[in-house]
Amino acid sequence: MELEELRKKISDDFNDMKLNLQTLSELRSQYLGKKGPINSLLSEMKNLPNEEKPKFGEKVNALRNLATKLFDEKKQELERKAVEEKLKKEAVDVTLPGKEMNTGSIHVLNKIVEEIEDLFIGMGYKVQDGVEVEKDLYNFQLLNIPENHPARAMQDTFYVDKERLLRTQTSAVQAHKMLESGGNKDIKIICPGRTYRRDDDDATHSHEFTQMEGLVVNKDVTMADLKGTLNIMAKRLFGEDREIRLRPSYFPFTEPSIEVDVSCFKCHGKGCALCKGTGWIEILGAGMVNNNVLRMCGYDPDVYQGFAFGVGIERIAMLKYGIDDIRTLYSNDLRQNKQFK
Amino acid sequence: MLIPIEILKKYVDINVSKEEFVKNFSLKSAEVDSFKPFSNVKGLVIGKIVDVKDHPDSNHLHITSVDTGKEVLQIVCGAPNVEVNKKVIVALDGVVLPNLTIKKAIIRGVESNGMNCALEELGIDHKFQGYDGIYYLDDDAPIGADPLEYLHLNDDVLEIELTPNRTDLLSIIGVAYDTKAMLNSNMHLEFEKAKEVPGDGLITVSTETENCLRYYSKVIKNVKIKESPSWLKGALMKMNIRPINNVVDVTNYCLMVTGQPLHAFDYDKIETKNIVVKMANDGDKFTTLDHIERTLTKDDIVITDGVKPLCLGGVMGGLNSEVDNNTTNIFLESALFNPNSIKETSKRLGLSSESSMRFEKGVDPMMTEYALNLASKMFSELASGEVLEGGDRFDNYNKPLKEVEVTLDRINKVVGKTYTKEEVSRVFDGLSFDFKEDKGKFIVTVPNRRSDIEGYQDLIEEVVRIDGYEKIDSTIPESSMIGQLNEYQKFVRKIRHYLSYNMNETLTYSLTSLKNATYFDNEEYGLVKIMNPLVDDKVYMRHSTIPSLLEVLRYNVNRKNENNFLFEIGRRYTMDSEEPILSGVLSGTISSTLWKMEKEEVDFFYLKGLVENLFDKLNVKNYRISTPVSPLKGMHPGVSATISIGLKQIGFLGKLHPETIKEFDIKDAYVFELSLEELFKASHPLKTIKEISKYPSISRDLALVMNKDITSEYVINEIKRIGKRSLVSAKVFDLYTGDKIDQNKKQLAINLQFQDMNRTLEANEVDELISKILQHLDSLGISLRE
Repeated sequence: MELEELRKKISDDFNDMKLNLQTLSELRSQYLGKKGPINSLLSEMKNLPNEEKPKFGEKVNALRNLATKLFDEKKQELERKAVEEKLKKEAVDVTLPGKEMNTGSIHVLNKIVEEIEDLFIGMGYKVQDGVEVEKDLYNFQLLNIPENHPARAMQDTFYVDKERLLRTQTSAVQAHKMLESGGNKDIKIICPGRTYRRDDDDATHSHEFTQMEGLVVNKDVTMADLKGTLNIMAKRLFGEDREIRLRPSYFPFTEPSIEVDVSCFKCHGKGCALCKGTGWIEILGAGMVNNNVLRMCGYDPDVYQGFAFGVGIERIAMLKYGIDDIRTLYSNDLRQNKQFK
Repeated sequence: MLIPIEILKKYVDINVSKEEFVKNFSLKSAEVDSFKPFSNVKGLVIGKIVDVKDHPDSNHLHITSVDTGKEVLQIVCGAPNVEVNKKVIVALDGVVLPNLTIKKAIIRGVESNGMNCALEELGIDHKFQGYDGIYYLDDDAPIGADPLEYLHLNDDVLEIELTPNRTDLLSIIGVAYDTKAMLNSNMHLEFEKAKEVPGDGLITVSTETENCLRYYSKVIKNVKIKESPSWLKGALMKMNIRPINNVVDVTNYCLMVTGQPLHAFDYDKIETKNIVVKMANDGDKFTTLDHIERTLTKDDIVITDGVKPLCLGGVMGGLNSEVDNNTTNIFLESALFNPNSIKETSKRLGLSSESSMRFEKGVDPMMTEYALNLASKMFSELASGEVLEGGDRFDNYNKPLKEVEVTLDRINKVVGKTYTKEEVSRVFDGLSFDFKEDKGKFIVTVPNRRSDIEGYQDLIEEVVRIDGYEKIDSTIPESSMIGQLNEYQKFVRKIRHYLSYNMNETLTYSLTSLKNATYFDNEEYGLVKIMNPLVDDKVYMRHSTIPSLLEVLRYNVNRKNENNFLFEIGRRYTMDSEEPILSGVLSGTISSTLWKMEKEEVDFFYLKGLVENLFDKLNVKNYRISTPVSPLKGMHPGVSATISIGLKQIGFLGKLHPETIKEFDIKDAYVFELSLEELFKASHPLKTIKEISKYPSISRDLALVMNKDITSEYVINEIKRIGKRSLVSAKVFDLYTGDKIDQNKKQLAINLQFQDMNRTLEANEVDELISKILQHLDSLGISLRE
């Protein structure tokens, strides 16, 4: 009967709701320690007759196993509770804002330049840089714009001295590249960069602006190639379902010369305020390289032909993102700049 | 250029809808700015004022009774020129004018049922009316009819933007040629010449200058000066020319139609009856039609009577031979002048006219005779003039027509399309070009009006544009070239993308003031100055982008954006180089998430960390950030440093000088600027990896006390010198100054890491090294904390 009482007591004690890890550990020592009741029962065993010993031993061991099991279970339960409590204490208001960090941005003009660069790199073009303080020779004369040419009046120029000026067009890079190529190498380049015109700044004019020139020279590049290339660019910039159309125009360094319109991405050609009701928006100028330019830059026009185009990056940015004043591209109001991640 | 469609249709058939015509024009000829009726007010009627009474309650209003055919309306009218029996334009109840809608009203107690209109009220420039008040129509105007139709003012006008090469489109006939080609229609150039009468009184003409290439003349007698008929006045208004009288209007009209400037002299004011074209004498005084006295030079062509100038040739007539209301006989000139000579005169005198503008660009010699005959015919019809038979002339113009060749193969090779001989011929025929074709080779005789056509490329342009750009395929160039950015371009992009993680890229103007261009220059050199600047603050090309960034900072702070982390990739411009530079400006709070940590403000060490982090990212090693030898201009002398690689300074960083902050009207800011090319040169991309030791490392911390003026760089260098190879890193992780140590001293906490590539280091080896290091430091006055 003594054993049965002990068994009940063990059961009751280990299931006491008030136990904590400390008192549980004490309880364990109390029952399972050297001086505990189980050990003393075992020490009593030697007084029993031999035939009773195995049965008694079995019962005492069962008691020890029970105590151990109950202890382990209780310990696990208490530890789990402790962790739960700790986690509860550690809980935060997850709706509080995270650590404040400034979100950086890339200037929209560079964003567009990189976008166009990547497109053309994919089509086998290299990117050619050029100087902004340029010689009249490269900016005008080699581009078939001699002195007194009416086209000089089309673009008023900042002069540094008699020979030097701030380039009015990235086309100046064309002449450098062609001369450098010695008249017998194929050329496939785009030239992005800062350009200057002696214009008063207003909502649509900026004395400094960004252009991207494209030039291909080889023995068989055609106007159809130019049209296809510009078509790809227009779709990349303004959407896959855009169309382009070409209209006759005039630039001294190309012949034939064209203006390129893209179908209005706002009204899809129906006519709206953005496209002034025409369904089309002018985006760039282009043409086949004028034979005079080829010749002056060392290429034989009977053998080589080329196409060139020039696109105003500000205009693209303004059209694409609905910016109505070119000056905001240079005032860098971070509320605008930060929108271009 | 403004083209009234009614006039264009006299010369060419337009066999398509308006929309189709405009679309064709813009795709095949020139840019269309607009296409719209000159005035499109609907519901106007011609009325006759049958009675005028004073308004009982006003000293300037009148009560008019206006007969509109159907009824007689009472209209209160405020015009000062109101007059009975005049024909007027009446806007009835409900008519919508550009600036108001007409409604029946009681005006000071009197009923008014409409308005008698001035042209201005129909949206037509006041200058065309020429007088104040309501506009009066001719007496023959039919009551009840539409006045805009009567005046030919509801006609559509095509406004086109001309490129400098297409001077042929500066005339209605020129536009008709292109129209004919694009619509494949017919032109009507022929007209029956005026019946000429025999008679005396022709004027002899001669020239003393080669700058007059051709001079044709006619004498028209007994003209009656009066107003032009409404169709002619309307035609001129639609081309933005103010009608004056029938003679002046005819010359202006013929100019616009043919592109050939004409001049009508008052015959009786040519006393000598002898015209001599010559160059003026330096200092000659001459009063042009605009009543301005001009001082002439020997570079100006003058039309004289042999004695005195009567006309500034090709530019403007003289007051002394002007056609006026008393003129009865006309001497008519149709001439050709040297374009450069006209250009010079016009430019020097600041005097540009429809005539000079055309002569400058080149006038079609085919039109000299045509325009002379057209004007003569109109004088006889509209001014009852008698055209005298003959007319003296001289002709030194003998430029032969150009011939330009192009082969079908060449056209197809350039365009990338397979045109047939027939298609090409159709274009040249359409443009009225004479040409011969033999085995695919076209020899084209270029008409004078198309001075822009010089080589085969120009002919190719004619073929593509008239046949249509829309018919060209879209292909892309075939080539085996490889597209890529070069290493430097990739490097710049990497910087942009790396910094744009938490900084904002700006773009600012390169042109600036002298002060800003050189603000951070310790010495000025090679500054690029603009000869013809537009404004004072944009005269020089900048040497640094920082001043612009400081302006951006101010702009944003003024708009309540206090925290700015800006960078820009720009250029430093000198007369012999354009050096790419990277600069940045940092100001304000980095983080104010107070439940996370203390508020963190931008300071020198944040800036330096940012720059060093960038260098690390770019594989730039062996750089040195050190105290400048002499203070940097514009910078805080104690909180700024130069950045160098080897002996070369590649940039600087630090806090702005309080003076700079004051001048730019900003708060504390930290800036840096770096030469990108130098940085690129110092950047060594990874080739093979650095082997990682397999053996454990031993870490030791030292707290060292030293005089404040000893730099941490010095201490680290000295430690590394003794630590040798097994000391793999030495880093300062804390700085202390304060009560616990001597006030002239500071304490640095330094972490040392020891490791060997080939074996495990023993603790006693490290202890030995440490004591060697401490011994050495002790000799330099740097001691271990007690």
